[in-house]
Amino acid sequence: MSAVRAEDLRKHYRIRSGRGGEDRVVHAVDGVSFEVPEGRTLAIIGESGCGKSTIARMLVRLAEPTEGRILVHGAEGVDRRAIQLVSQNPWSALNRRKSIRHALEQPLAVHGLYPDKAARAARVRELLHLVGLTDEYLGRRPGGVSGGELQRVTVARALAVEPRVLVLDEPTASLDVSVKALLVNLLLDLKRRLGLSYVLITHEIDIARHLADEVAVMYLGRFVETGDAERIFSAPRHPYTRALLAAVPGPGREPAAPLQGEVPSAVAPPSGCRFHTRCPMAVDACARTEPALEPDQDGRLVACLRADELLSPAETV
Amino acid sequence: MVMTRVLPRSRTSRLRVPRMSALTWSGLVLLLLFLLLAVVGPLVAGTSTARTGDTLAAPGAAHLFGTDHLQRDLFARTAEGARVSLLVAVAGVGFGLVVAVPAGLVAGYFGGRWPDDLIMRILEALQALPLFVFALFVIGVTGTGDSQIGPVTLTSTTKVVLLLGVGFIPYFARVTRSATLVEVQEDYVDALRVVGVPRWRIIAGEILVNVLPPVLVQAFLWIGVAIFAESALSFLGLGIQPPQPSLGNILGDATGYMLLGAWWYSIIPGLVILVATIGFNLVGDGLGDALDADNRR
Repeated sequence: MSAVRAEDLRKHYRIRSGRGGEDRVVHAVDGVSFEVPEGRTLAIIGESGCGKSTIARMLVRLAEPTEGRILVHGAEGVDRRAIQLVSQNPWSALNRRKSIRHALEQPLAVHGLYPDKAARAARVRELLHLVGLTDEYLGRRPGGVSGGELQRVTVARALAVEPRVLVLDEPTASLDVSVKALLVNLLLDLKRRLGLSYVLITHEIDIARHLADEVAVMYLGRFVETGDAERIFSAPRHPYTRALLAAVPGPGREPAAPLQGEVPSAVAPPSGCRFHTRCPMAVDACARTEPALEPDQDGRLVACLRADELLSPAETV
Repeated sequence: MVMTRVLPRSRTSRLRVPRMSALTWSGLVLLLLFLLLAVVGPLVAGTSTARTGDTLAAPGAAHLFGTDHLQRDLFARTAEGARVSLLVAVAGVGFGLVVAVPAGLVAGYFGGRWPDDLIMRILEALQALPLFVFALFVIGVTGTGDSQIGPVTLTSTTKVVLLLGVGFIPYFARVTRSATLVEVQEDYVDALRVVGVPRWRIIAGEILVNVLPPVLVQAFLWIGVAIFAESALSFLGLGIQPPQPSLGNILGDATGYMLLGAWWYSIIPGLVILVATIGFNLVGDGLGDALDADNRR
């Protein structure tokens, strides 16, 4: 059974316009399906505004899908203990006037776990140790603690209810570079030790490269390429994936020029292929025909009309 | 993986003598003077209704603040009046908070959705009614004496407390709501929902502790306003009824005697009102500044 299964997820937000005008509909997520096998990590990557955080919110039931369904370990109902969230900004994710002990105790209290006082206190310490922090942190408030340490606390809080899936929404985006690696290592370690499955939402390609087993590349509410992480990172096929990866500097490689222009509006997505307005490979047909995600011969799915022509990647994108 | 053991930084003391501006200092002095009069005054002075035998005596060694037209000692009356005014003001602000804080929290939590709309429309209706017109109406209907509502007896003092509280509800609720609107944007609110914490517990247990400090600062500031408003109501005869003294009704009694040369009769309670109002305002401002500084830290 897969850890997470999303079937044709859609999230549309209605924006009320003033008098007279018609309501506009933002297609934040527009028909996305994926599966995360147990014990694996799916990274959803894309620029900001592509809808990836909306997927995170739907997965942890902070937002209801407009259409489609989400199954966590086969179950469709809301189970707060099955799937938990680690969000981007640890300073905001913890109440600044509450102690770290309180933050870790609360999930236990809400779900009636470890009702015995001593057992609960022991569990709180255990959670703290699990993320590599010491007992000294228990009585402290977020104010005097560094971002990397606070993010460990939010991971510990998410793990308090013993979930089997973690949604990591830009977990390292607000951390210093030196601390990012520590958190990534912690997440890898926890996954192995606790048998967790991750859905990683990020725009940081390096982080995805370290954590992901599988990748879904998202553009304007849809996936354009999904498949095995190693294959996609080593040989991206979709022009958008190529541009995204080429923009990251690597050893001995200058980053390519980033994509021109802005991400088009999700209120009125472009006709045909949504990427055609910015795509260096676009032909006339791209503006008319919307490409479906088609399996490639190595097992990945690519949504591009010219996918076959792009099999042997051009040197420049 | 090697778990790094990260040592916490040394805890900085949270208790520090705050740096205060000259204005805050002077406010603090005024406030302490007023509190001295209102708290200690009634204990050292005689009864406020006793006749001394001196009619309209000027302030002096025998009578620190002079006497009034009914031969009562004005120090005793002013001190007792200050105590009553302070209690009524604090109770009025407290009553306002008890209603306004939950209303503002709920409105802010549901910002823009129907519970917010409903609460805000009610508050606007309440605010559209000027306090004094409302007071005139209520006192006009129920009279200045005690009123019996079911099993509850409302004294004139209780009525003032309720009137002040009702008048303050819209302001306190707005402050609470705007602080809550900011607070619900914080990620911890979502994080707690994901963990499964019930909504009321997020509001009452988590958001409240962050919203309360600025609201209490506002409330403190408004104690000065409440003393002023109570005095005005009592001055007009709508508030606290004689023989119970209040700063306002002493001032009300004094009208007319100014021209007879009894300047102390109205000047002294008037000054006390001024001192109290300014004191609470300046110290309240100082508290607000201290809170802002604390938030920036």
